[in-house]
Formats: sequence, C-alpha cells, structure tokens
Amino acid sequence: MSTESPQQSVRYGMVIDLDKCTGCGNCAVACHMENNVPFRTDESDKSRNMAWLRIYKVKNGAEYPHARVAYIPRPCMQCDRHTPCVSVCPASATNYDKSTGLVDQINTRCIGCRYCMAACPYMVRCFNWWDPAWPADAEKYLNPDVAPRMRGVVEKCTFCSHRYIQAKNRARQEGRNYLEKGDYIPACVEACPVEAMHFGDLNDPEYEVAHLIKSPRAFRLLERLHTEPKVYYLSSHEWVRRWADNDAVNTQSAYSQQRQGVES
Amino acid sequence: MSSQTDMPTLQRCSAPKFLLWLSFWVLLLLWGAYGAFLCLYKGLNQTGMNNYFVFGVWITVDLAIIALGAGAFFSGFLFYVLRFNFLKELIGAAVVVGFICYSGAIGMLTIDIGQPLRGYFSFWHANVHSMLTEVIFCITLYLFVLTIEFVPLITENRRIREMPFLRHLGENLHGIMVVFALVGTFLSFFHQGSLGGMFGTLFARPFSYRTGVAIWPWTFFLFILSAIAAGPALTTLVVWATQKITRRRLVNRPTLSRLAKLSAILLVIYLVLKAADTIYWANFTAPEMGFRFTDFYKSPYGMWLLFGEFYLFGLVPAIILLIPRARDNDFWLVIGCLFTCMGIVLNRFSFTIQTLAVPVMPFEKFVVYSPTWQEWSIVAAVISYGVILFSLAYRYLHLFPREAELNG
Amino acid sequence: MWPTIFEFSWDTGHMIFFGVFYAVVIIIATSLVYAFAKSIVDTFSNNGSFDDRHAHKPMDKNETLGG
Repeated sequence: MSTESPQQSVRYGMVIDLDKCTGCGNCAVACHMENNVPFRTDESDKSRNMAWLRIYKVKNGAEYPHARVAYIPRPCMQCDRHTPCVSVCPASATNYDKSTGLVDQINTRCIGCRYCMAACPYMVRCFNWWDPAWPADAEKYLNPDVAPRMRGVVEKCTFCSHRYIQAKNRARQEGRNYLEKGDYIPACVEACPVEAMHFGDLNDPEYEVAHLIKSPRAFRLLERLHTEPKVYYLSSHEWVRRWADNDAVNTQSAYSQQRQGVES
Repeated sequence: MSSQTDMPTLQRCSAPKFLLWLSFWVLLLLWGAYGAFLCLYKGLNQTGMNNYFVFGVWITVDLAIIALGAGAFFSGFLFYVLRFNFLKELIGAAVVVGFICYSGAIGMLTIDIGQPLRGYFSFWHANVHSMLTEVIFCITLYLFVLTIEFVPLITENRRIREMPFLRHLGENLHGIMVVFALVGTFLSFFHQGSLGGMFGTLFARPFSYRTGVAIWPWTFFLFILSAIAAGPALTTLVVWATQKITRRRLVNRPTLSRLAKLSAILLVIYLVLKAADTIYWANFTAPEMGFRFTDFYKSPYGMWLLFGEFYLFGLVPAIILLIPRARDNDFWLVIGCLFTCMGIVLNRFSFTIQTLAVPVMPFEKFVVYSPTWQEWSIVAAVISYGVILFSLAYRYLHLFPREAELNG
Repeated sequence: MWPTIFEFSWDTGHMIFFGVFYAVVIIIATSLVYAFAKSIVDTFSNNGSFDDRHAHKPMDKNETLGG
C-alpha cells in the first residue's frame, strides 16, 4: 500500500522486461487511445508524428543465424533529478509533482516554444504541428477524461496522470487517503499482453517494481546523463544493455559498433 | 534655445529615388508577411522544423541578430559611462541598429512559438529557473530601453522639434541617458549571457552542455564576449555601407578603424577563451557523457563548422583588424568586420542546429534540417524591415552629428 | 509574476529574479516619470534651452524632409 503522506515519498515508476517484449505495439496503441493522441492520414513522416510511447527496434549486428533483435518501448522516462524539461520551461507548463514524482504537462499553459523538446534527451516530447483531427466516427471513441491538445503546443507521456487523479478520487470516495496496489496503472501497462510492463511505487516494497529495479538485469537509458529516469528496463542480454548508453569512448560499445542498421 | 537657422543643410536623395530604394525592400517585406501569415494561420507545419529540429533558422537568426545588436548597449556603455567620446559620431546609428535587431528578433520569436497569443504566459507564469525566462524578460525590457534611447533621435527631427513638449522630452531623456545606458548594459549582460546559458545548461545535450560557475555555464560568458566583439563590427559595417550607398561621409574614417580595433581585441580574447572551453569540453565534458569529440561532427555539420568559426571567421578577421594598415583600408576593414559577424552567426548556428542534429539516444540517427521558403521569407522580412527603418532614420533623423561638417 | 498567481512561490529564486526585475522596472519608470514631468515644467515655464553639448543639431528650416 502506498500513501500520499510526504514522509513516505512515493515514486511512481515503470519496469519493462525487454526479454519478454515482442514489439507487438499494443502499448503504443493503448496509449494513443487512452490519451487521445492525434494521428494523420499519412503517418510516414516519423519526424513529425505524435507518439507518447515509441517502440525502437535494435539489432545485435550479427549475421544469420546469430542475428537477434530486441524492442525497446520508450514512454516518458519521468526523470527524477533536475528534470531537464521542467527546469527549462519558461511558462511553468511542465510540472514535476513532488508527492508522486510524476512529470506532467499543463497543456493549456504551454506557449509552444519547444525548449523542453531540445532539453529532453529521450525524444519523448511531440509538438502539435497540425490541428488535431479524427475521423468523424473515431471522435466517438475519444477518452472524455483527457482533453485533446491544440495545434502549437507540446505534449508527452504523463504516465496517464489522469488515471492517478481518478484513482485518488475513488479512494477518497471509499474513505481512504492512500492508494492501494492496482488502483493506478497506466494504459500501456494494462494493455501489454505478455506482462512485460510493470508499474508502481519504486519506494514501496509491496510493489513488484521495487524489487525488479534491484535485479542485476535492470538498467536505464542514458544513465551517465544523471537524469535519474524512473523507467527501468530488464534484459539478460549484454548486447541489448549496451544499447542503453552511448559510451562512444568505448569502442566495444553498441553505439560505436552498430550505429548502422537501426530501425525505429 | 538654439537657433534653427544657423544649421547647415543636409542633402538627401530625391523622393522618387528613395521610394525606388524602399520599394525593393517593401516587396521583400511583403513576401515575408505572406510567409508569416501562412505560419500563423496554418501553423508551424509550414516550416522545415520537426520533433528533432525544434529550433530552426529563426532561432539561429534570433540569436545572431541579438548578438550583432549588442553594438547598441556596448557603444552606449562605452560612450555614456566610460566616456569614449569618439563614439559620439555613431552612437545614434548604433542605437537604431540595436533597436532594429531586437524588435526584429522579438517579432520573429512571436511567429516561432506555437501559441503566440500565450506569449505573455512566460511573464505571467514565469519559471525563474529557466534561462529562457531570463532571456524573455531581459530582451523585452531592453527593447523598451532601446525605444527610450531612440526617442531623443526622433525628437530632433525639425518638424517634431516645433512641438515644445516633445522637444523638451527628447532633451530631458537625453540628459539622463546614462541611466538608460547602465540599465541597458545590465539587461544586455544577462540576456546575452542567458542565450548562451540556454544551451550550456542543456545537460542532456552533450554537444552544447558546458560546465561553469555556480548556475552559469561557460557559454554564458562566451556569448556575452562574442556579442560585444561582433556588435561593434556590425555597427562599423552598417556605417560604412551607409556611406557607400549615400555617397556621403558620415563619420571620420579613424572612428571606424578605432571601432574595428576594439572589436578585434575583444574577438581575440573571446577566441582564446572559446578555444580553452572547446578543449576542456572535448576532452572532459563530452567523454563523461559518452561522446567522442568526433561524434559531434558528421556531414553536413562537419568539422568545417568548427574550422570556419575559429579560423576563417575568427582568427583571420581578428588579425586583419589588429593590423593598423589593414583596418585603415576600406576593403580589409569590411572583410574583417564581415567575417567577424559571420563567425558569430556560425557560432549561433552550431549551438542551435548542430545541438539538435546530434542524436543523444544511441538508437536515434544523425538528422539534417532544411528550412522552407516560408522560414527564409521571414528572415528576409526581418532584414528588409531593418533596411527600411534604418533608411527612414537616416533620411529623417540626425544619426550622424558630424555629417554636415564632413560634407561641408 | 504576482504572488496572487497560481503556483507563485516565495522561494529564493523568485525573490532574486523578481527583486531584480522590479528594481529595473522601477528605475526605468522613475526615469521616465522624471523626464516627462521635467518636460511638462519646461514647456510651461518656457525654460527650454537645451544643452547642445549632448544633443545633435536640428535640421535646417529649408531642408526638405521628404527629400
């Protein structure tokens, strides 16, 4: 059980087991549906499309029969230390919630300067280059709990923070001032068919994630930048783990050796 | 009260000739206005920017013209505070150039943000920890100060002087100009620095991240220094070009040489510090973040950028302008000043574009940016706006107090 | 910007930043008020002789402004 009292710091985080991930894309689709992420008829230009959760495909660079691939789902890393996007936003439109560690976006306050996008090393943030539009029938399926964003603002994965608010409201209605395990789960975690994604309070031993992040298989993306992401990955393959960091100085690193052949 | 009848006549070209000159720039301005309309009406999808290149040619030009506009605050500081009296000959021109640069930059920024109507949110909901907030506050206030500095120039117009209140207002503002010069210097110091700080503090962007002192990365100080080196170079160029176009002597030739020498000395100091910064960054800062120095330079953003910035548009103009015989020669003076300005543009280009081109995630790719015509049209419009405003100022105001004497 | 605005906080960063900002605004505003007030007084007292050491000389009456 996790409480919201400031004495017991809650840090919501995610663990993604890359050994289990099949790259099916269910998490990304669920994210799109849950958060009313707009799309265009022609989505071929990946440099301008909207994706709160993007799945990267990496290869080990070996020839058949030793060739291997892995899929790295990349939601917002929810950086915990001097969060790059929060510190740069001139209009305080990106918010770091000290009580939960959630990094949220205040869309109605965003002026669209895109400085946060320049600051984010994970390419998490997307700018609304066009007015969001859905086919007429699809509008009926928009999530009423999440406001669609307008043209000219930046948006990003919020760990489905609206679900957190709903969970808190439900808890209050039930007379609780804390959330129970399972009360708050982001849509992507819920949608994963192979249970490769886990979510919860990283500080609370009752949650599986609190143990998984201590696994020897656990690693994070770009750890040497010291952004302290709250999204952890698990992999037993050394070549996958090498992809997590640039480490260009080390000529044996994936970055140095396998720069080519990357698809996303 | 000084007599208006004992003043010499200043010759200006005929009205048709002036209108013909303006018409070309007005056409460019209209082209830019159309581009701006498309960007505001249809959105920033009209540009070549994307989720990788969130800053493009506009931010590059913004940074560049704010640096080049530093001639205004720096000349003002030298003239009003440190009493460099030789600058009296062109302080008015420097103020107008500064006003053009800053107003142009703010105009361009307004189109660049996705929600221009929310622009005031950066004041209303200011995040005081962001370097961009500091930039926005300072450039807005400084544009206001520049406007105040512009007023005495305008009130010297003969027709306006006929109105006693405006004449007195201009005179009284002029009398306390040292206050505005000091405020302008203070604001400029911070916004020029914060523009560098904007990139230097991006600790997740190894190409631009720099260590520093307290909350200020080294780029904070380097941007200030490069701006005060390039600002006088642009002022020199503008005055020289005005002389050539109008075929009139506007300032004493040694004044231009002295300004160019000042620019060169500052440029040398900047280049030495920039070299030290680059060496430290390449050998310590970047490797700690997992990057080799050479990883940052891939075609088309290759080593030529660094070479150009340091040597061709750095060391070369500095040496040219430090040689008395060279800077006394018009050709070399112009080459020296032009190259100095280009070096600063290249520096701002690197920080804006190359920072974003270098992939930080290992499985992302090195990307290339190409602006659309809409973006270029707005850049052209800002330049046109500058030429038009300066032309009008030259024609109707007394930008150069020694003009009559030198052409007598 | 103002203490009444949502999420304004009385921390050191706000104190320093807005302290300096409002100091600059006050200096500019005071200088402007002084210049305006003095100009009004000068206009009505006809005490308008200005210091030619600083100002540029006015254009000649015969000069054509329109070129």
